[in-house]
Amino acid sequence: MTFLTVTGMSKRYGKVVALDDVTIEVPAGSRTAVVGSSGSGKTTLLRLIAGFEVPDTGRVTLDGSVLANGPSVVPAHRRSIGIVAQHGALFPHLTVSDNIGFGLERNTPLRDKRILALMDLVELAPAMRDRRPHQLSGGQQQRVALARALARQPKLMLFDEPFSALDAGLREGIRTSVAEVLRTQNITAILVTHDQAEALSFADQVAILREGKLLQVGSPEDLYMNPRDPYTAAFLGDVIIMDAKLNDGWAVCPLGRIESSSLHSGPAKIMLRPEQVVLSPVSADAKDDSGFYGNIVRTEFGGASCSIAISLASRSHDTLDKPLLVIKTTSINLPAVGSRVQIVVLGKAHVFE
Amino acid sequence: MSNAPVVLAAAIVSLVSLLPVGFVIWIGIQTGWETVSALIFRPRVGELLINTALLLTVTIPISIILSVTLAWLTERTDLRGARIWSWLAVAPLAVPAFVQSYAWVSLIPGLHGLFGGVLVSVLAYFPFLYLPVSAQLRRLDPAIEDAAASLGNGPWRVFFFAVLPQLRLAICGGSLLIGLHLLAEYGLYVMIRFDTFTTAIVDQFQSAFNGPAANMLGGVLVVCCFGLLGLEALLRGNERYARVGSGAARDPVKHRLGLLAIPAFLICLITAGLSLGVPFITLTRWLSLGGIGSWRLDLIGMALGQTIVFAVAGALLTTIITVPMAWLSVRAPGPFQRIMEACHYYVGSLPGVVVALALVTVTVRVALPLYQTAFTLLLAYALLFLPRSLVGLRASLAQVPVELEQAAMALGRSPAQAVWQITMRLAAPGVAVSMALVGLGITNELTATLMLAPNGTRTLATQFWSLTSEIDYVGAAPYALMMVLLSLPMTLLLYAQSKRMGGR
Repeated sequence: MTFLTVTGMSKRYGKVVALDDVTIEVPAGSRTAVVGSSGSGKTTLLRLIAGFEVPDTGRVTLDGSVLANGPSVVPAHRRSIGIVAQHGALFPHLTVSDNIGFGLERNTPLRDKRILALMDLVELAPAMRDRRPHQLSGGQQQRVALARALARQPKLMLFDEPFSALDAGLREGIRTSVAEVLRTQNITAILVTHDQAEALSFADQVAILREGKLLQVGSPEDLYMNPRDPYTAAFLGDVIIMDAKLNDGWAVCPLGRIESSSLHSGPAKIMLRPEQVVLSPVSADAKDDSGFYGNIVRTEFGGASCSIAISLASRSHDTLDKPLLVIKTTSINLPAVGSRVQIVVLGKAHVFE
Repeated sequence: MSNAPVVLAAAIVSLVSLLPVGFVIWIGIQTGWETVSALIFRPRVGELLINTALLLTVTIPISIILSVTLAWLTERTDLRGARIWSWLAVAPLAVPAFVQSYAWVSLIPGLHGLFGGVLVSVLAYFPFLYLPVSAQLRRLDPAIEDAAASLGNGPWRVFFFAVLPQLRLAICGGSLLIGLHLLAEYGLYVMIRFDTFTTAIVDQFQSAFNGPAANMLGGVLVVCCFGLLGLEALLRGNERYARVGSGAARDPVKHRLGLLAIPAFLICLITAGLSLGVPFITLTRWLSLGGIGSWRLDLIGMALGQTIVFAVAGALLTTIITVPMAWLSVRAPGPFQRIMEACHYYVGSLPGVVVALALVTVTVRVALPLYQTAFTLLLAYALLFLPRSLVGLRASLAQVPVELEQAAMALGRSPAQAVWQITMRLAAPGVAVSMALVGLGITNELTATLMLAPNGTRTLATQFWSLTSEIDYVGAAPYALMMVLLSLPMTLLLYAQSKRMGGR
């Protein structure tokens, strides 16, 4: 069931087009991540849904009621949409419990209990109740911001890069607990981020924005393995993009003959994820027609993942055609420079139509 | 979210602030060129122009030399007691200019004319230059001086070619402020018997009420103000003075005075003696002469009460009408907003006498019921102190991130509620300070109050004025003392602000 629908949304600031005809549907109870580099219009999209901006054209419908139809809009405070901003945007003059209770009416029954229950929900100790925002760590501030937004039982929650200001270690923990809270409360959420890993792990549905245009929407797996264009492919992770000849479900490329996702034939661009490529060391004079070989030209140690450059031994004896393949691989059993490896490709090659 | 109501409110305030200049132009057109030229091109106006020009060209350079010397001594040398001398160089701000002249005239009854005018003006106004110059000196990166010295310049050359140019903005800004005060001041020059445009206009106004003669003099005065503003903009230039490069600057080195310590000490002592000692001695003398008998508590209490009511009401009105502009310039800047902001700023540089003339004429001709009402007087205060209020409000609003306003709206507050409960709440300390500055300005306002106040109004300033006009110096002393005491907090505040600006 579609819960939030954004149709044909456009917004310009002077000459700059921030959003260009964006249409996206968010199912009830789902988590959607909107990713894009800075300036892609992702925050504008969020602000339009929240009601802080007025669209030039386009509609926003939430749970059957129209929130915005071109310039006629429902103001932000009547939308019952919760928002968690990048730095939490906690009110510095209020205590933790006053911040959380800000959206609750004074005469709400069991107000204090509600606040404590919310603190418990976001895993904040009750002792924090009387602290001020500046006495909290970044992660705790984000938990307060989440509890504050949840207090009003919003139909939809918006997250504007809420984890990007946190340390890498903290980020994952709080991301998991936020996802858990959203799942148990069955709240629909939209997360805006520039971090593709965060988007892929957090969301059921990922949307990619570039220069105000929506490039592709789909499940994380689908977008990762079947991106519609090289930009999306590269944005979501490391890629190997090559020219290939398609023939009857197979792609012939510098890495050999790989099963492809397309039934077309003729020249095309194909994409592999580096993790599809498996290298196994072989002796320098190994010769086996079934396999494909290369020489390690350069390695760069980088901790968990290392970068390797391989010069491919082209099967055609054209000496000029020796493309360099650069991939990220695990640091375990890193082949030495100059050694020879056999290259095996797992899974299918993705073809850009 | 639509800004339309806020823009409308700010636009109305901007239009009202254009009233004084609109009035001068309108009255000029209505009077007709022949009368205008007959009223402007006459020996009397020439005399006033020469007086004003002399006053400006003598007072400002002397103030610059005095302030830069004092600032250098207190900030960059091992002068003993530099902190105290620095505070004593700011303290004269607590003595209103007409109280300063009262002190001098009662000490030397014969003091008058250009010499007296310049002497008292310098003593009353030099802190306006000392404050920015010393703040700038404190902020200067000493590496510039080291570099100049390493390039083969002696100490004097270093000062004139490396340090002084860096003080240009501070000197220009301070001089402009002093110049505008010289043009606008009334009480000081009446007591010292030195005719300026402002004294001539008030004379004309009191003898012939609202004649074209006063209005035309007002027009010339407005032109003088704009001349000063333009000259300052021209001299200020647009070179870069901010420090190039990042990182914190080293603390400046204190120069050793050596034998020069004695003349340096004398300069500081004489300045403090003339600007603070003389008012102190004369006030004490009059107060002790009058004894307890000069404290007419009923009259003083009433004047104090009225002054406080006007100050509080004026500060409230000024703050309320500047909120839309301050909010716009922080939250929705744009070309239209800049024009409106310029309107808000220019009106504060006009002399009180011009604003008062404009409001008298407009109320008499267009809205008679408002003539000589407290409302009109409060409006005049609001116009005169618009920039003071705007500067403070803007700075304090700018410290509240817009995300907090939006968070409040997402939590169910209407935009107006969000601004009130969050933005204004967080900006409150800064707003209170700017309200205090406006209120204290109103406490010492004399000219517009004399011209616009409803009959029977007795503020500290007007009571002081009427008593000194009757040469009742003893009776005036308690009022002078109250004004000084009321001005002390503002002076402390400005002193603290300039220290903060300098990063201390």
